[in-house]
Amino acid sequence: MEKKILEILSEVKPGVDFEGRTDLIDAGVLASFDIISLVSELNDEFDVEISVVDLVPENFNSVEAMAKMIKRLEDED
Amino acid sequence: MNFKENIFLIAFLPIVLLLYYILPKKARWGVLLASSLIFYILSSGIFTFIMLGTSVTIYVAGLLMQKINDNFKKQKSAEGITKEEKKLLKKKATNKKKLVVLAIVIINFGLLLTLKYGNFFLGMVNSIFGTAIPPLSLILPLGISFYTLQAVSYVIDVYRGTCKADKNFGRVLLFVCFFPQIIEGPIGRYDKLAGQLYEGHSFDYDKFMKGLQLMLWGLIKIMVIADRAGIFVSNVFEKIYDADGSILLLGVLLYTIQLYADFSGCMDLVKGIGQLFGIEMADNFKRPFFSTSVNEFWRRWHITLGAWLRDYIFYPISLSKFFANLSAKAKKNFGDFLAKFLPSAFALFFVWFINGLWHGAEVKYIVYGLYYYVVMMLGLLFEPLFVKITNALHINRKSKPYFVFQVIRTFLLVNLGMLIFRANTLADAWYALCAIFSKFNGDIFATSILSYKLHIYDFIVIAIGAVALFIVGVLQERGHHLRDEIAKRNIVIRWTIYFAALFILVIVGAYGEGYRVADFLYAQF
Amino acid sequence: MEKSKKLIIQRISKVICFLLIFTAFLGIGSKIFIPKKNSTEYGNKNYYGNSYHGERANSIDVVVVGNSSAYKSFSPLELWNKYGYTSFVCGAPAQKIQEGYYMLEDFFKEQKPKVVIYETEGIFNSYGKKIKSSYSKAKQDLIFLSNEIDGINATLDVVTANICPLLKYHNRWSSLKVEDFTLEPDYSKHYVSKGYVLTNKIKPYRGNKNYMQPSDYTTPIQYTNLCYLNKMKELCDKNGAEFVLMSSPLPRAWNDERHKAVKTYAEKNNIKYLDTNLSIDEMKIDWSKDSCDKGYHLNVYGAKKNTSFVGKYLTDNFKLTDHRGDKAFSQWNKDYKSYSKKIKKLK
Repeated sequence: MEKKILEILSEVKPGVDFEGRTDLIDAGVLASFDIISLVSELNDEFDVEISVVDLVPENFNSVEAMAKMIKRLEDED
Repeated sequence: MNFKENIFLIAFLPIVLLLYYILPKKARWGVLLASSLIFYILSSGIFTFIMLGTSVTIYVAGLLMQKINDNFKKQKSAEGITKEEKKLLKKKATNKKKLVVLAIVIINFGLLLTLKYGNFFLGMVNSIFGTAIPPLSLILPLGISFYTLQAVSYVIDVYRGTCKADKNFGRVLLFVCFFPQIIEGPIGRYDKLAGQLYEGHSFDYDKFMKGLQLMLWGLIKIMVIADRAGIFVSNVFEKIYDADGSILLLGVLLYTIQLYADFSGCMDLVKGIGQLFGIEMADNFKRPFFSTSVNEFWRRWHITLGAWLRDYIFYPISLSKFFANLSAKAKKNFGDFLAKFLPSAFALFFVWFINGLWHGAEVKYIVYGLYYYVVMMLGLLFEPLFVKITNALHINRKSKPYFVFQVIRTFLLVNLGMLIFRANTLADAWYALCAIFSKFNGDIFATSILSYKLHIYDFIVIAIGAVALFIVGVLQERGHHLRDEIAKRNIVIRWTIYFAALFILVIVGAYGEGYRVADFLYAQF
Repeated sequence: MEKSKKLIIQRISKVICFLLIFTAFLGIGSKIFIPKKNSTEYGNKNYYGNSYHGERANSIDVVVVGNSSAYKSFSPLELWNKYGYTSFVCGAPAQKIQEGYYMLEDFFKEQKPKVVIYETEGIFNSYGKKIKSSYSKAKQDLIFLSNEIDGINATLDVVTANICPLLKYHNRWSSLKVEDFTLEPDYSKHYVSKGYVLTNKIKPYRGNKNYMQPSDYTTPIQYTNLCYLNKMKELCDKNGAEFVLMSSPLPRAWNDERHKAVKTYAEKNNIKYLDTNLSIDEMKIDWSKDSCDKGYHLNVYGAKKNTSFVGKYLTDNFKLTDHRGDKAFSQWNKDYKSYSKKIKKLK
């Protein structure tokens, strides 16, 4: 899953090395409109529904956090 | 009552602090509530009921949603219920909750719109239909633009489930009217702030001292730099048609410095006051002038407003079904880049329109918001082109000179925004912008710079102040925590620094004879 | 336990030390920053109002306290010339009533006036927004409340600046001289005009001549101002002077709404009140000639008429001594001569 997320990330925001980073939001790598396109891609890819409540820095600061969030949403369904 | 006035600093605040730490921990939040109400009543009198009304509505709304949730849970766990029925129940409950949120939004923003924008809309109606309805005599209750956002966020957070409805009205009320934040923010969130307000903090010497230091720093920013620059700025903008282009340019530049020093200084003051009570409030500034883009600037300037607009306007709009469909359609018809761009562009329009309008009931504020929207959209649209150009010119986009170039570019764009923000009318702003280029005679070096009620020494103080802010900014950008680092030094160095700061405030502060106590700039919004 | 006690003691002593040093700084700073002589070159912008230090002790019988309405409406040397009473104006631009009080307190240290007159414009105009009778009741109340807060704040400002002059004179940092570090303050410089500020500019007042027309509304007096009026009265009682309220002829600043407020207060507290605005015709004030700024203040021609009217009032109500023949007051004759010369020169 992490690999796929990385792929999507580099599509949304080319030219950034996302691996191993844990400050994607805090450091401002991902702006709010990047988040929007990222969310719509993730929703399509993993067939989940990321809602507004999930849009907090803790869920998007790292690839691992995103994977964790998606797993949680998959489980909820 | 203004935070930098004697009545607050040597009367109100010390009394509240004393009571807070004398009373048992359980009663301490009561001190905060009582003092906040007194603070509010003293500045808004009978109109306090408007703020109280807002607090009651959100309190009731929270409880209502809690009840809907509890009912839903009860029905859900009833025996013999099918999955379909459960889904239906959930939908019903959500719809009910949506209705509650809608009612709260309509009531509270309706109130804000009427009080703040009533005459603006009336004027529009008059000019469109040729009617002559006289303006209403409206009174703006203290901090209504700030506490309305804060209050509504509580209801939406309860709806979203990020925080629980509070059964204690006093707590909700305190969250809305906590006195340090009421004048100009920061706009707090219930999950982060309410608990801290309610919890009785024990006296922490180090934290207390740090709070005092932060207050001192904020006061210096406001009284030494902002209030001084403000005299020049208001005189320039009063008579822009007489001024030389160079004076106008300096006026805009000093306004940017003034607004930053005033607003961020007030936030330091507010945060410092919070720390005296052991309360950590949200950051509103993160050295915005080191931003490499306008977009980044707005993530570091008035952070809590940007975050509010993002969480409660931008995200919900762009994640709504309507937008998902739009985005899918765009993908089919326009290709990847535009598919990414269009929905954001659409949602961001609302964000910036509201951002502009929030600042004031005038056309220029709307233009101010949309100016940033246009700059940001152009930036996004042309980003691929920029990349190509820099690549062709073999410019390293990660090099230091390029970073400096970006920072200066952002600074200039922000100054243009400030001009729109400060000029009395849009026509004035346009005139000033043209005059900066066409009427530039360099009068600044002649004596006319001194005809704006500031002495040459005052300009020197402002210049030194700006450089000091810059140096502190650079150090903080490099990861220094200055207050902690000072605290680690020996007592001679430490006290020298503290006394120097106090001396500067007392002697160089622009207060007393010749300087009127200026209001906080952002308090009028 | 022992350790924490030690820490607390250490911290408390540190805080006390810090405050002591800070107090010392404020004290030394005040000594340095306070103007050393009573003149503009030495940083005393309000030298005329302070110049009572340059008068012979216990030589002044009447003192007028107030803002620009006082020192532009009342000219002590005119009073001297016509009635032989000695008087002085303790004024300052936009003087707050609190400042007026402390100035009077200082004045009593050197003088024993028989009559103290407070110019009433300062009761309403020292700070804050004006309350108009056309506003809604709620708006009036709100402005009253906000002015009240401003009033308390102004009191704190004045009291702290009175204790620590550094807070008042800190803006002199850019013009400090060597003397400021060496000299002791000496305000004994003698000025001719006795606190009066002379202007001969003419800017006619063309507004409503009947500006004292009766109104249903009475402007409320701020609580802090009431307090200081009472304090001023007490101070006068203590020093054996009679306290009088006086409104100068100022069509732009005075009206029936304010008149009634002062009148009510004066009657309630058994204070004499003279409103010259009710005697414009008797004074023969000509609004096309006697104002220097369209009715906000009087010029020297208006002040002459007003002072002579006030002099008559003083004669009727108090037993003041005519000092004109007294050799001990010969300086006043000299001062009057240079004052008249100055007026002639201006023409």
